[in-house]
Amino acid sequence: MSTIKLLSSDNAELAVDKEVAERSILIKNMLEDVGGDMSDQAIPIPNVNEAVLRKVIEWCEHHKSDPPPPADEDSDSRKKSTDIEEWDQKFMQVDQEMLFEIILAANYLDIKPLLDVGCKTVANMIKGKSPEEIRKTFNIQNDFTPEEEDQIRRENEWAEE
Amino acid sequence: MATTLPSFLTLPLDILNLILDYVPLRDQISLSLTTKLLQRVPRNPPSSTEEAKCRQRIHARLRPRPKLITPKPDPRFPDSYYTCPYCAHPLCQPTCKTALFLDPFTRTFSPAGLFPVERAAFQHQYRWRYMTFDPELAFYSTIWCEHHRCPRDLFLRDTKIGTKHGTDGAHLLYREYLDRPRGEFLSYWEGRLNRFRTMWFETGPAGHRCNLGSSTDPNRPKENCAEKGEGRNEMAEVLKASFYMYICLHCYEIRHFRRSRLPHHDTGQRNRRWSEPCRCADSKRREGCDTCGVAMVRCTIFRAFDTPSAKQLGDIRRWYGVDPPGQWAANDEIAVWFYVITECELMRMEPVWREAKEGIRIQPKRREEYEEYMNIARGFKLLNGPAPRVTIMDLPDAILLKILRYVGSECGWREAGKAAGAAYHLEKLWSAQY
Repeated sequence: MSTIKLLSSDNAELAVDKEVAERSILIKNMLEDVGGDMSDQAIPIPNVNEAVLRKVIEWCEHHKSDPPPPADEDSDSRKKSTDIEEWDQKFMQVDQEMLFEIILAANYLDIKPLLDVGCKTVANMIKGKSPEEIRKTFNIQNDFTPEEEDQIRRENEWAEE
Repeated sequence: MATTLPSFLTLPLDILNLILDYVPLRDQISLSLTTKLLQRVPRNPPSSTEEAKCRQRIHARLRPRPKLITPKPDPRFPDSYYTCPYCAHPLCQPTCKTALFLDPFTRTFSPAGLFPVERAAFQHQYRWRYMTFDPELAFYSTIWCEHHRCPRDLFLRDTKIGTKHGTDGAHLLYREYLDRPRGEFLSYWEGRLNRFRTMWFETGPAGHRCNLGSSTDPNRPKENCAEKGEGRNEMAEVLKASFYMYICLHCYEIRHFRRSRLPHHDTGQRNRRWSEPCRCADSKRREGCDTCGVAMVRCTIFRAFDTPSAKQLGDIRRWYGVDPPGQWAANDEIAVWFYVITECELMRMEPVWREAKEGIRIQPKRREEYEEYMNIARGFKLLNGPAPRVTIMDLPDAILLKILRYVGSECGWREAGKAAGAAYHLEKLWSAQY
């Protein structure tokens, strides 16, 4: 099995199986463009630091034999279900900063299943919570003035009449 | 000094949109109320008037500032609009943070999130509308909260508490219980209550009782409870029993789920089969409102009042003039039992527990809130005694099934099935056989 090297934004070189790296559509396309031979040169991943890249590689390794995601991206089942596999749940048990960085990396590297898992994880952190609880979860400051809160309430009263 | 935004708010818009694809509308509205930056969530305007109304309801639930139906203040309590019809204590406004609304039809106490506070109407003020079941109003007959709870010894007092309604509170409460319309729903609940009492109820000690006192009013007569707590080493054991149901957050009707279809998703619509459609259901939407949402609730049965002794029963019968004389005796137990509903969610258990127990369990959504509501409802705090070394739920599944089969062979399979309903784990175990 051939190995390629990835160069993180903080100049760390990580060796990874080509099959694993090709979970990223960005890398896969890049390898196809250069004819598949990148054994002597590291592929720069300028938007992802070493720690995040290692996590992304860990995920890709675990999911290397997964079937490709369904072509119909907007299918209802994909959109509605927030079920996450047990391994992925554990994988996503990281601090929030790392979680968001994984999501951004998955978006940049075009790894849709990982992006989905990340988004589902964040969605699950929002679901069923009151505004105050969401603020606490994400450390958001309430910047509504009492007048603005009244305004929102008034805007949402019309339906009752 | 410039403030840094939290990481969540620095996510690019396209990522935020992806996340919102997985967030139900009611949670999107909750998100929109956190900060001005997210004010434009949800992204799409309502597609119909009906959806707009649902959105308004969600707003009302998240920001409970009801349009109060303002009555004239009671001159005896100028700071309060109403007094409790049962104990004459001033009632808090429905906006009280810890309010539990008593639904006179079902004897159920519901917190604000599970009760349409914006339509709240005091039953005794709107008696004529209450009698005609006005759907625009959600009736409550009293509010128990951190500021008020009827005395536990309401039925034991030797003096009647005068109310503005000119009747005795305990009598009123008892009469309402006897007079109220008995629907299928209520029969079902009482069926559950009787089952717990006869089959499993004695198996669940919740803790020990320590009196809080039932009122903040220093002028009220002291309680005449059998176990006073203060200065006593022995404290009465308090038992618990609960079961789970669904509530449609559009019409606030409660339904139970079929045994063979135990819940797998707390918010999604899949895998749920309701016993019957709720009031707002139509041909397409049979299991609660998709927009307003559905909540899984734990219904906890609790003894709201102290039961009179045999001697006191005789006095009470004479005092209240209950006719026929045996009527109280037949109903005394049920008359003092009420229910509290609190929101629950499905939790995945840690893998180490999964091997031995159910992988997904139903838990209170906010445990501290649940405890607080239960303390208010019971009228005392629970002190946890030493945990039992082993309980029936610690037995291996095979043995639990064996016990249920014994129950089945002795009392019939129907009874065994009913007994399995006492605990979520037992119910799953029992239904897995079929």
